[in-house]
Amino acid sequence: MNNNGVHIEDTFAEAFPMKVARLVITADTPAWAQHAAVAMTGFATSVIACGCEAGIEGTIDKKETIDGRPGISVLLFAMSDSQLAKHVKNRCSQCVMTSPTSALFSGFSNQHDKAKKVPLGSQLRYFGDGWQISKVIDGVRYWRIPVMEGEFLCADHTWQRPGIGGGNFLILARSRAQALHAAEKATQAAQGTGVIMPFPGGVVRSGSKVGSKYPALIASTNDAFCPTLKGQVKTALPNDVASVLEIVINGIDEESIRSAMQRGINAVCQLGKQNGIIAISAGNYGGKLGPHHFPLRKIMA
Amino acid sequence: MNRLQLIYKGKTGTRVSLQPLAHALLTNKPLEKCLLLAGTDDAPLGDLFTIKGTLDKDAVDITIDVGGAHLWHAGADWQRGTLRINGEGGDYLAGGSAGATRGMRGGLIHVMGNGGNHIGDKMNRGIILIEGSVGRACGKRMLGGTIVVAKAYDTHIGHAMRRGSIFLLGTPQKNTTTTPLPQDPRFTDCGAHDLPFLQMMTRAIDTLSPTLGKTLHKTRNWQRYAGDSIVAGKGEIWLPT
Repeated sequence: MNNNGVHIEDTFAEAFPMKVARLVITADTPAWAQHAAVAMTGFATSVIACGCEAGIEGTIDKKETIDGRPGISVLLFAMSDSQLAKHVKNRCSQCVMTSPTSALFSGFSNQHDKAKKVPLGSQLRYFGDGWQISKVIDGVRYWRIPVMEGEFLCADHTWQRPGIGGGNFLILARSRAQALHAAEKATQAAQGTGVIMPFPGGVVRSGSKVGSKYPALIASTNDAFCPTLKGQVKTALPNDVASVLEIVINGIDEESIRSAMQRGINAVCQLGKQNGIIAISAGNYGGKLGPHHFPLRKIMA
Repeated sequence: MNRLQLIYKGKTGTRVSLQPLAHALLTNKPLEKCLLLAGTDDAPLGDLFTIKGTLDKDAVDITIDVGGAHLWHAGADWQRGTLRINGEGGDYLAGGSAGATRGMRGGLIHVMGNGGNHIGDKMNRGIILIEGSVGRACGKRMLGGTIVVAKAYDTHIGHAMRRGSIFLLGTPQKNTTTTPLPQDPRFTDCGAHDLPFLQMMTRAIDTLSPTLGKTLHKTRNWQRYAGDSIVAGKGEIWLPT
């Protein structure tokens, strides 16, 4: 398959089941909502060493938030219920409650058939040292926790549901600059409701393979896609490829990831061969890692 | 959503206690057979009110057209759903049964007219919206929940309240001995605030009562009074500044 001179490889992205919670952070200004969201989603690129994967899903207009202030929607993924609850609690208490003017709300309801409660204010309220106040509005409990700046308003809990982590595609380019430019275009296009790209700027330069020659490591560099190792290892790269960048996409369901991959790959293909884009590939582990497969050619058909 | 309307058809000026209503909603007994105290006699609800519409027990939504009745104990032990009162809310609105340790436990009570005395006695949860004025001891012994009063209020506001919030949009009733809150020793002035909670509350009330919402939207800063200190209470009364 060829799109504007860009070869779409006959392969698939392999993704795995995760648990996901959506949180809505509001603040007096979009900038302060952003500060809280950035802090909360920091050091959350990969479960390999961060424990969770998190990112900003998008901004929410003040007309649509519960308290009428500008908001940001955040998705946080983890491998298990307990890990998710732990990271939600830690990050909300240390990064959102501490951020000036912030308030925190649930982004999911219990409508999903596999929805489970994740504590928010029900845990954070103890910071109020007995001065916390609860309010039930429209059947939802909120906690008002007195803080030095005023009050931290927080929903009692949010909901988790099954999510998917590890949707991806690889941009194979003639140069480092061309790969980076294409990756920037791809992340801009792929951004949307239901997905996050948890790596810095949404882009990974150090994609991994499972295992290592060192027994202590569970993952190591994806040598087949390292351009400097061409000739030394069994490479997956054509001769004219000098740089590869990966876009990793986590989503709340398969459709969200499929749609984000399509938007991202389309944006890269629009740059075309004339801008140094040689091919689009994807990372998979032969079907051993996860049940969710995203065949590139089927997505782009 | 199914709505039930109760239109008063009894004698003008009769004192009608609605205390059994909330309990009747929890049983399978026909509502028209629920015995109410009218004056000094028991009377079935069906004899006092014309019943229109259907009751959805999963999403209770009842409107009472008060007419010439003098209600008391309306919304007593109210637990969930909405109770709208077209007319005067009467005394002991949203309180509890005799001897109960808690009054209203959830839901919404919306009074289009004035409320009487002792509104929200021992109220535990839920929201009471009063579009008019209230009498004495509004929010007495309150344990939680929210009361919003659009117009004037009388003496002993929030008497012995332990928790809960009262929003007073009006001024004290004329010709009463109400101590203005800044001088009331039972309540501590906690300063003027503009909090996200207040914005959220304003938006929530706006959807329930545009009239109240309009007044609330005008206020940016609210003065907070905490008390009642006679019971080491952590309740709060909010006044627009």
